[in-house]
Amino acid sequence: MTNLFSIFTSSSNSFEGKHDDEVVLLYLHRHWYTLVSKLVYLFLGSLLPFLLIYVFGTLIVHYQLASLVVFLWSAYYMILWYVFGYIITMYSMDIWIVTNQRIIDSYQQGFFNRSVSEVGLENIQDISIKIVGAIPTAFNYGDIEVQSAAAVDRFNFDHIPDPQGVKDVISKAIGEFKANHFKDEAFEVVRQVEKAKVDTYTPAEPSEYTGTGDETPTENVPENLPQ
Amino acid sequence: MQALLNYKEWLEIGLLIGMTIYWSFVFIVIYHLIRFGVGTLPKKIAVIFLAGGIMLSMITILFFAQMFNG
Repeated sequence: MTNLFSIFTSSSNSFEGKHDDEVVLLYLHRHWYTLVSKLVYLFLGSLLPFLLIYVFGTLIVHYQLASLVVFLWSAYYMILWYVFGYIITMYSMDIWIVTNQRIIDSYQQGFFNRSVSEVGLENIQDISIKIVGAIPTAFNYGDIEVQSAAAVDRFNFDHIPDPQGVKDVISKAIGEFKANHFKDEAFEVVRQVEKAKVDTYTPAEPSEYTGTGDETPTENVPENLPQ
Repeated sequence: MQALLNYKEWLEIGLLIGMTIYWSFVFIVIYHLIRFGVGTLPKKIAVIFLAGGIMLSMITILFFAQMFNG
């Protein structure tokens, strides 16, 4: 029986559709700064009730609305909690996975708008990085653009931490993949040639010999053999 | 003519509808985190999110009841 709680303890290097022989090299989310910049607004929003109580406190007491205000306050925090969950969900759904075989781009925009695209390492043609602005430079995050020869001609990694390091990992993975891939192809070609040789081999027909076997060869012997 | 429901009962129905809508959205968040989250961290976050949702809902219902009980 599968343990229900294994989802909390199983390998973190697993994802839907992962091949058996696939090794995950990188899981990439957007840089934490992009998440924090959104959560700051949420935090400021959570301070709003305090501000309202500070401003309208005397009115609330005067009209005996304390219990109503407390109820609305808790309902408001419920909504903020949901918004917090929504932001975290969108952040965690927007990922890039680099494996030793392919790059997967999983993008979630809203709950019911999800796209997953992938490109094989053999189809990648060029990788470029772009770090624009003071904050990305300070926090070392930026964009990576991967040009490919596949159906999806361009992959964008947006706001990725350490783009140079990620580029190096991808370049190395491409090199290793192509080396292994071409080695396998070369072995396959050699195997096919050898197989073809075996399949088409026909032994030579024995020549007809009618002698007794005691004759001394006198014919077809070159005359200028060294003595 | 006597009202079908008094204002308190209408508010209770409103709270029930609000909670149903809220928990539908919470369920969608938890579903996405568990179903599509890569690795174990999103699953753990889903549990924390669920616990927080339950706690805040209970507090809200408690304060709602307190409005009428003084």
